[in-house]
Amino acid sequence: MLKLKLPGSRLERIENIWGYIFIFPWLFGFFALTLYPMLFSIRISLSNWNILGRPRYIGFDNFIDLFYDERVRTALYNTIYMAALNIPLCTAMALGLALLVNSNLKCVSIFRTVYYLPSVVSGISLMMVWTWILDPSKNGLANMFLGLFGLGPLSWLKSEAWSKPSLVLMQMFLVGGGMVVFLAALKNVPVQLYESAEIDGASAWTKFTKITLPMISPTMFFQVTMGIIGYFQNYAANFIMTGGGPADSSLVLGLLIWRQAFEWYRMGSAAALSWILFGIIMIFTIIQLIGSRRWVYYEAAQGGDES
Amino acid sequence: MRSVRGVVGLLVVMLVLVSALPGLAAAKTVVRYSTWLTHEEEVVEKEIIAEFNRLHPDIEVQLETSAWGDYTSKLITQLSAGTAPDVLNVSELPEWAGYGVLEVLDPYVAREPELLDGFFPKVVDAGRFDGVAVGKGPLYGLPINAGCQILFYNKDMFDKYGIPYPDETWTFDTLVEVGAKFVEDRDGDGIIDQFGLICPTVWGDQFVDLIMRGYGSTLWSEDRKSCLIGTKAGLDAVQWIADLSNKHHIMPTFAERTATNEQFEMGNLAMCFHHTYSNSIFHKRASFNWSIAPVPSGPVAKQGVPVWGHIVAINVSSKVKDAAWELLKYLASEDVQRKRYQELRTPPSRPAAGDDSDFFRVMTECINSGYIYGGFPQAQEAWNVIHSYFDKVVLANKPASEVFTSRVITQIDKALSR
Repeated sequence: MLKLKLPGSRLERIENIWGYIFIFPWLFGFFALTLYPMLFSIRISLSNWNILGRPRYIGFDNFIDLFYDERVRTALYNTIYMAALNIPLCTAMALGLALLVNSNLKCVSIFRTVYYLPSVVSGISLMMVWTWILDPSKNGLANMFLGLFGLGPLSWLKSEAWSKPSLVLMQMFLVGGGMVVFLAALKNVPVQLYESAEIDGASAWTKFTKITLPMISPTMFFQVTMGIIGYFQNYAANFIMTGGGPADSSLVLGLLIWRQAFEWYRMGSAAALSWILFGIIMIFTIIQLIGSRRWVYYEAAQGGDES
Repeated sequence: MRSVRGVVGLLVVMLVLVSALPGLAAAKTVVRYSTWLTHEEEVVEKEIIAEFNRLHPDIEVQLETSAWGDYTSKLITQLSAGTAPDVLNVSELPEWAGYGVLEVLDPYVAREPELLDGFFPKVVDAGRFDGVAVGKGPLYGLPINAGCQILFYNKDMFDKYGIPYPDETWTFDTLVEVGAKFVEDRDGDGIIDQFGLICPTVWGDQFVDLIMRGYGSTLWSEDRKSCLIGTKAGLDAVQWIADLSNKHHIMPTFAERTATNEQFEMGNLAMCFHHTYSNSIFHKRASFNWSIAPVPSGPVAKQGVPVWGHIVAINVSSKVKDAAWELLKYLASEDVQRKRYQELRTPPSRPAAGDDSDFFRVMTECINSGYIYGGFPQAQEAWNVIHSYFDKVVLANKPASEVFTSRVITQIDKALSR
């Protein structure tokens, strides 16, 4: 038996070959559909390319041009503004819902399904529905609701001041996926910790802040990090619901990249802006990783002392 | 064992026969044709293609359709990858012709000089591009329909208020004066729900150019290297459009408007600037009597209206250009355009395919007295800059002269220079 486990044995070699065969589809996908386009986009970012002709090398001109482009600054501001509003609110909403459905009520599965439902509906359909809800006229559902209290009507998506908060408001109703992840984390918090705390007379708030939050902090870290990465790249709602307007008030970097590539035939500039976006996401992710040492609690890292 | 060999042998023979079938079918020349269509249009277009295939037994046309929103990005990706269809409905003529992906059709037309006789001449010229702007130079496509900017009006509403219908004597001032008479809070809730006029939902460059022509200028310079919106004519035009909402309040503000078509269809508007293609929508959905009139004249010039048509073209990389040319001629033929007009109300680019309705008569007059707008590749990006500042004039109610400063004009001109 020992002989069979030696490195370089026939069985091990066969196992290795099978291993490579099994991961080949993924490797092929990674090299052909991710790594190659990424490397190719570096070349494009240094070129003047209208997509339909041949790329012409122009050095760093695209990057320099973007640095002075007012729309890039507007889009960057809007992207950060919306991410700063969206990520805390959506994370809090997902956690709040997870806490609500993490109970032992009889019909709790119905609530879980209802809250998760928007996440399985086509994004485009939801956006069309929300465009109607946020219709700025008095016939919009949101304005009808405000009208019951003698408020509004608000211009929502058609207003420079309200376009970004309106889009974030819609996204707050699409947190079903995050809710499920938080629910799984909450289920993993040992019940004994809460029982001990209750014996010590801890309040519900103390239990939440001193037990729940630290115990689910790795999940929180995952959600926030993935949220930042995903949100910086996301532009579907802005594209469909506002087109980046009015007056560029909801123009985000992803949408600007799309426009440069497919509306203005400036693929080189779009590739350059994509790399700038990549750099920005990388910076935010590194800040997150460094900051996480202070607030993320990994049970496994300290498990030895506690057991 | 023998029986197994027999079965295997039979399978091999069947496989060879089956694989040979496409080869037999390949005796026909396959022409791929790409266009954007609604579901209703697709039904009619499939009938048209089936008829073409019947009339041309040696050609098989394969129709590839997309929704409008996906069409352009899909096509430019296909063109870039070398997998684009042979015949294309052209959504962006200056870009595609300018970047050399469309076949020049003049040699084909030279073989059949009478071919262009039956079309509106200006609509045919809208398929030309000389490297600077649309309207002159080599021919890149044949128009399968025609269109122009027009003023739609609700006849029933005009009758109810006892106001004469719009005609060619109207000016921008008449429009404002008459439009104000229709503004009404129908249900008395303090919010106006009936307006006199609406302009296109997205401020199109063609529309702003049209109004600027009424003030004696154009949006772009002749050489397409600079934008003239900062001139007196440009600022006056922008201010006139903004004042329709902000000063005269005959047009709904951004907050008060839904889709342009929708508000007119619901009977909440007396008049609506739109392109003639909306004919098919209003014909189907509007429950009141409506008609069209020429766009009123500006204070400086009787400007006419921009004229254009959707054109079909041949992919320069196509291997079956002669068959593709046959399809092009068929798609733009009188019978096919008449069928589209009768079944979908899509205005034809051949006068003979029309009818004697008021709509077609007024459209014909407007096309004949109109002009070709003359788009060019950099216009989209430059317009995007203008559009965002245009919003500021309307939303923030700032004077156009304070928004379109020399800094903004420089930004627009920079986009034009790319």
